[in-house]
Amino acid sequence: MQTYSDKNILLSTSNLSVGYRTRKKGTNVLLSGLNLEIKQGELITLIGPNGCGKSTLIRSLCGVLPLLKGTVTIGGLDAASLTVSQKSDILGVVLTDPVYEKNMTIFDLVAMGRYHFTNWIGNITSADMEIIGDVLKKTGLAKKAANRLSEVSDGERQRAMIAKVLAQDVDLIILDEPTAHLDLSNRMELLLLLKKLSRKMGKGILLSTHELGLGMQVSDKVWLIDHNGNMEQSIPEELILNNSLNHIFGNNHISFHPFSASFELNPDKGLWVNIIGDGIITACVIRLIKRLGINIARQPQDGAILIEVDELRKEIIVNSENPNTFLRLIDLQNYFVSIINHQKYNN
Amino acid sequence: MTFMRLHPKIIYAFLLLLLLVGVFADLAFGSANISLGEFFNALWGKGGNPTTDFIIFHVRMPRVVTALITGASLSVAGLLLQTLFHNPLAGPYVLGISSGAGLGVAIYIMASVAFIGISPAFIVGGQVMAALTGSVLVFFLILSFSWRLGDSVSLLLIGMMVGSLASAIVGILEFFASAEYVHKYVVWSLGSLAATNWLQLSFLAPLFVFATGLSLFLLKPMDALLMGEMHARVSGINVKKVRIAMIVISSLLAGTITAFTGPIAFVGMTVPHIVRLISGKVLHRVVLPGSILVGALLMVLCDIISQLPGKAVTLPINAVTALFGAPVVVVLILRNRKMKVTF
Repeated sequence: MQTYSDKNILLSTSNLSVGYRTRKKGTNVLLSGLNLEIKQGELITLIGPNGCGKSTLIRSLCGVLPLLKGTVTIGGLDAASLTVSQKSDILGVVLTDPVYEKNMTIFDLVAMGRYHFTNWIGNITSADMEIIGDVLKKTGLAKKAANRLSEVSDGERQRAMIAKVLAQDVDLIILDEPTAHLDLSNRMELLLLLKKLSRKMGKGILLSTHELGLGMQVSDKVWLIDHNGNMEQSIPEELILNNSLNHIFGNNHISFHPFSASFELNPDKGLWVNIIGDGIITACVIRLIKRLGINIARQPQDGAILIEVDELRKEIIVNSENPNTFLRLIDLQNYFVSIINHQKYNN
Repeated sequence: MTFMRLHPKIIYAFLLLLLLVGVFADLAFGSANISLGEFFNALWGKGGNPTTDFIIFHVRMPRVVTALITGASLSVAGLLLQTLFHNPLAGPYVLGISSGAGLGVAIYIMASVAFIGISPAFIVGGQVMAALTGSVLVFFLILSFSWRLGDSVSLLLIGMMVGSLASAIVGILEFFASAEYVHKYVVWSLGSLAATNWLQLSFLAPLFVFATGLSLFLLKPMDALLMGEMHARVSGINVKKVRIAMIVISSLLAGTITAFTGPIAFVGMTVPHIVRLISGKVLHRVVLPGSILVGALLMVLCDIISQLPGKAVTLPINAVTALFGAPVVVVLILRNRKMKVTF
């Protein structure tokens, strides 16, 4: 691993503005005044609503889009002064755009990571071979090397893109929505792989994602962009505590709940319940009630229906005008649905 | 399919052998009846029969060399354009270059009668110059668009529009021209490998070597382009420069070849697919040499087939390439399902 001055800062920006210049509408600034930093061993997630400028920022950092203002420093040097191959020594980029040639093998794709190291024809030497074999193993693709991209799953294809950037042997990896199009287990696997790369190999990693929950579980830092193009740099728990996520992603229908660290539906029914119990059945009852849009009162209160959960006997007792005991959650749901419908049609 | 697992180098060595046999066969057989003994004698300079020598060295040999260069050039152009446009259906036709050549020739043969009273269609080399002018004009038109357009799809559409425009004008010219000149144009449009002499080849051959040589410098960036334009850009490739280089090279190859031989369809589009299917690879450092080899071989075989009727009749080469080539591609695709031609 190379060492850099300034406490191993791989990438930093100073007063950076990003956006687009169009001939007709002039300059469209999406984000401005950015002073960012990615250090070795850091995993940073970039989060923000659609259209806030995540991809624009990533493309600007990679040097694909021209900067509107400010500078990007990579490995201690101004990115504008670096040659393509100097930059490729430090920075590797993973895009989600589908690879056009589906007949390419996983090996071919990963070997493309050696682009700036191979000769003018692109011959793979035995040294390249060793590196490619190594990264295929690290990403769990050793057995799939000869498979064509059309024959592997989305998760494997995405891992191959990461293997490609590992083959490039860089310290800084930037990924644009690597979790898109992946199912839950593949998303987790991918994020854990990235976490491992930052922890064990000291890579600095920046990824943009819409995966709030998973992203916040693995990342060291979060760059959060709001609708107005303001960026908050923080750690995940700080964002939960200061309610930032709610400000950006919350609306009339959903809001962020610090205890579950996830978004939940806002209650929209005029019903209140009070739940007593402690255990897995209680937890499921709470979920069910929230899902139906019913308010949950912390303390017993007038007009609130009292639900008592007996975890031992596996009974749910609802104390209303005519008390009921339910053994199954579905019966509880049917009961409340009938109350809600009754209310709806009577109003 | 067992031969699929062979290394491309072994397949190519076999194809090269086949090509040599093909070249000899093409030289040995033709409409004039020359026995194998006479043929070899003439080839080693012991013939002594000036007519036989002339037929072999000045009729058949230029034609075979033209076939080799034509097949290789169109295939390389086709490969470059398929990579450029990310479109497996692309070929030398898509940029409108061939149509430009056709328009040039049409104006030369048919329209000049209307304007200057006589057709200059009998001036030696005039037709070639007209075709070259047409393709060069279209080429510069396309090139100026490609500076302005960001994406290849728009360029593809514009190329096809230019092609349609040229065909429309040719159609109008055909409607008004007299039968004699229409026939002359139709004969040109059917393609011929026999219209070139050594003088023209001394221009064509270095150009082919030059353009193909240039394309070798694009092997690596073209491989990166296989991933897609954005992927190539973040890999640090100047996509715009590479794209212009690809347009220049493919136009140079397709334009000049069309000028000399007339439009020859099918070869440029299909040969790269044949090579990908038999080699099992998509990287250009494998497919480009393979396309040169297979393109040349296919063209020589087509030339042999076009002369099978014997004696005075030679089938139009444009028809033979498609008649012979289309089934080959269908069979290859059906036999190798793993390697899909991505449509």
